[in-house]
Amino acid sequence: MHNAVKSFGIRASTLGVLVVGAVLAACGPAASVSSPDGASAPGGGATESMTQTDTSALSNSDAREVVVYTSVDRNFSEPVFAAYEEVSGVKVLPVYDLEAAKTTGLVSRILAERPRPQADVWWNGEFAQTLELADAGALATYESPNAHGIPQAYRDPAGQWTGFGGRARVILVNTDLVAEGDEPDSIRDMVETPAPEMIGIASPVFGTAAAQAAALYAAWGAEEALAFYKAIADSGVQVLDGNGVVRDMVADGRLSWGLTDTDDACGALERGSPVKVVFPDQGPGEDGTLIVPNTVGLIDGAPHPDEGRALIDYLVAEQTTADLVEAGWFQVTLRPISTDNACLDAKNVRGMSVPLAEIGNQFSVAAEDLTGLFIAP
Amino acid sequence: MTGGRAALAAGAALYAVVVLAPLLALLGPTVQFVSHDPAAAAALVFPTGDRLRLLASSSALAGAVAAASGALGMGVAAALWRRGGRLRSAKWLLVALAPIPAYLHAMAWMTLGHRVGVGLAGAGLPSPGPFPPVVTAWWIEVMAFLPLTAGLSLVALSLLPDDLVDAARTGGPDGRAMRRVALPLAGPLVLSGAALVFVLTLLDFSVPTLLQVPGYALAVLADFSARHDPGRAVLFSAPLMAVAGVAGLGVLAGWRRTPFGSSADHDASPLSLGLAGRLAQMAAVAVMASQIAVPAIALAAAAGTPRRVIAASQGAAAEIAYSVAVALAAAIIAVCVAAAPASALARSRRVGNVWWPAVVLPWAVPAALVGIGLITLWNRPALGYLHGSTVMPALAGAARFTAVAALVLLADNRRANPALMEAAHIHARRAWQPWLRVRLPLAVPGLAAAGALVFALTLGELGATLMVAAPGHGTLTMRIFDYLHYGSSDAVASLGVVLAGAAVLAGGFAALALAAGSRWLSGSGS
Repeated sequence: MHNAVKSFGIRASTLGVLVVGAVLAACGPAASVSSPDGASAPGGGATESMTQTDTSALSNSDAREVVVYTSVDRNFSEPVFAAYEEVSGVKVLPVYDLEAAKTTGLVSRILAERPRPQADVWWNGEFAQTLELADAGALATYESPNAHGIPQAYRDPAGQWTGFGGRARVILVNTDLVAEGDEPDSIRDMVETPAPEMIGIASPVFGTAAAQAAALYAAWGAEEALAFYKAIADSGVQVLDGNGVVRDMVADGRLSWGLTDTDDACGALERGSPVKVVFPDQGPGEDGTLIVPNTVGLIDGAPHPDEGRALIDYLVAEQTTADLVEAGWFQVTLRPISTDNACLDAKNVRGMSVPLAEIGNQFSVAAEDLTGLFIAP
Repeated sequence: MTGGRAALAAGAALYAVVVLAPLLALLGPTVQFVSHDPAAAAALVFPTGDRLRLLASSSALAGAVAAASGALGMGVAAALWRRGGRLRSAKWLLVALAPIPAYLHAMAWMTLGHRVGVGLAGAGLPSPGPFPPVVTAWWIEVMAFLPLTAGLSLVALSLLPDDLVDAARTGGPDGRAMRRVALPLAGPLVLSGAALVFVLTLLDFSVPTLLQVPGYALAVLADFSARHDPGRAVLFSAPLMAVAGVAGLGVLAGWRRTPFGSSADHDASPLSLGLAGRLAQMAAVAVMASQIAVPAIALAAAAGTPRRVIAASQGAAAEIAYSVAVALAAAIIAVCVAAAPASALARSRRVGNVWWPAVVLPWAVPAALVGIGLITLWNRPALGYLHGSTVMPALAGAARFTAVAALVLLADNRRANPALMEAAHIHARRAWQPWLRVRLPLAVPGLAAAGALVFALTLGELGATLMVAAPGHGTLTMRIFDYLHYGSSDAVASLGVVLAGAAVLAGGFAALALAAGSRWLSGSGS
């Protein structure tokens, strides 16, 4: 090959070393995340008390910021962070998960960062991944005093996470396509319908649909639950790319009804779509529907543990729950809280009685079965 | 060690740090998994039964997409080749279209299909659909990757030695020159473009997921999502990486076998093909036009008025600025780092063979794993200022797309006329003069094209960026996927317009750099 050409490449390589060095040097840290190595003790074992507005513990800290990784939809979580910044004066640096990443995003990131955590707080829109992080030892112990009133079933006995309001799995029905009185009232109706191609669910391998699958595994036993999903797979029910897609297809009339979350259902209601929401399996002797609480935990070895605890206090406070109900993210409060503008009246909705920990235990079992059924058939 | 070898070694070290080290960092958890459960590891690496069938069906879909987009891309390129005036600038439109995510194409075509079906039903006519999901997925992937194959085919044709083509034209009709000279000579590079599309399709999970088409890439994600074990994910995706790696070798082989001419942009008369050739070109151009028109109309219709686009842009101003900064930094890093492999691949076959796996490997690794590798590599006390900083997404873009830049620079290296440099060395008074006055202007088009391509690809990157984005910062693509989840189609469309606009600017910049380089070259040469 030509010497001139070769040596240009070689010189360009040298130039490259210099330019890359300059680029790296020029780009400073976006977040002055202080190193937790050495000086900062992991949060494990530290149970402290802070009230919602008590940020005095932060006043002597140089680091007036807190890093939060959240799987909660940005349009709901961002205003909460903005309000907290105003109240506390602490800068919130969020990283948002995306449904497109199929929940491989932030949980994997937290686990990969374990030797040197970057995040202070994990705020999850559901609970299964939080249980997984707790099992992996990625969460520290912190029981917020603002969690009073939340039933023990929604709080980790070891204090590594707190559930604080959330959503429920619902059936969204297109009222143009399904006559009043003919609406389904059980998830079992999915496999007992004459037109399964007009019914949709999100892939039960990801997100809250996966949590529901794990819940059914825990409540019915693996054999019956797998048979149910096999029936769905065989029947021609549409298995879609997320709860939002189910909502849109029902709202557009491309599906008669589908299984989704209350926040997605509220989105369709607020847009004036011809839809109706049904809480499934509410009859006597029936299972109830899955309540999907939000969960929050302090990252073990968080760079800003005090700021992290203060943010958790703010998130689990009753006022924040009320704000999130009004915003449309929560439809279930877990404790008596008076709210306005709730999209759905879920006060009397009966949830499944299976403990979250048991659901968590079934998560990987169900995921493996259902991956074989729906992803790699 | 000579200065040249030392510089090449430095370049190789840079490539190793920026591109290879994040991938090699995955070896740790992989070895850990293998040592803990060798039987499970073996079962993952050598798929049988359902997983083998899934790999075969995913490969078949990717092959069908590569074949169709390769053929259509060649048709479009043949229609644009040797065309002057405004048509010459059309190639930069291809650069602008390349980064539009396949997901947006899917939305546009599915919306079109739904509305056509509703319209036909309203008129009492039978609807042609619904098509089988795998056919719809195939079409959308072809549409998404058509700008890439068309662009690479155009590059292949533009780099052909003009004297060979013109000599062939004197001996017979243009159609025969096309069939017997141009196509065989450009073939390896065209096929390498198709092989690149094969790899990209094989690794894409978004469109198959949307259309309920089972795919191996989604199975990797599903397994990773349930277990969060990067070592297991590497082994699970090993068969996918093997198939992608073989295709990647095909890409490189095509790149190395293409005879490159010394000039690409001078005025030359277009070939006049026969009726069949013209019809094939027209058909390909019509498909390309629909590739542009359907998303454009769908985006414009959903976005609404320009005021709404501006409002959405203002709402995402921080993300736009961050994305442009990240993509620009990634392009700079990638172009610099790609110089060493491009130079090495252009050397003897022995040296080139050593580099092949190093250039192919980055294409075959799923994006989320690249992100995990970056965290494993850079999240260390001594390098604390890096992880969590704005540099990391740029490093993610560079890690994923430097190999693409290397191929562009390799082509540019191979088309450079050595006589110019030798003459410059003889007549130069100072050592730097040949580089500044001859080689740099000659290199500008390649550098600009490589930089623009990496810029555009980084703009659309999601999987690795999500893993390393700095807290408090997000990219435009992250924002678009965020809105997609809400079903906010007007905001998605508005930001899609902004994304395409940014890519158009990148293409425009590259075109300006090309023009400036040509002017500089003319001045130096006089």
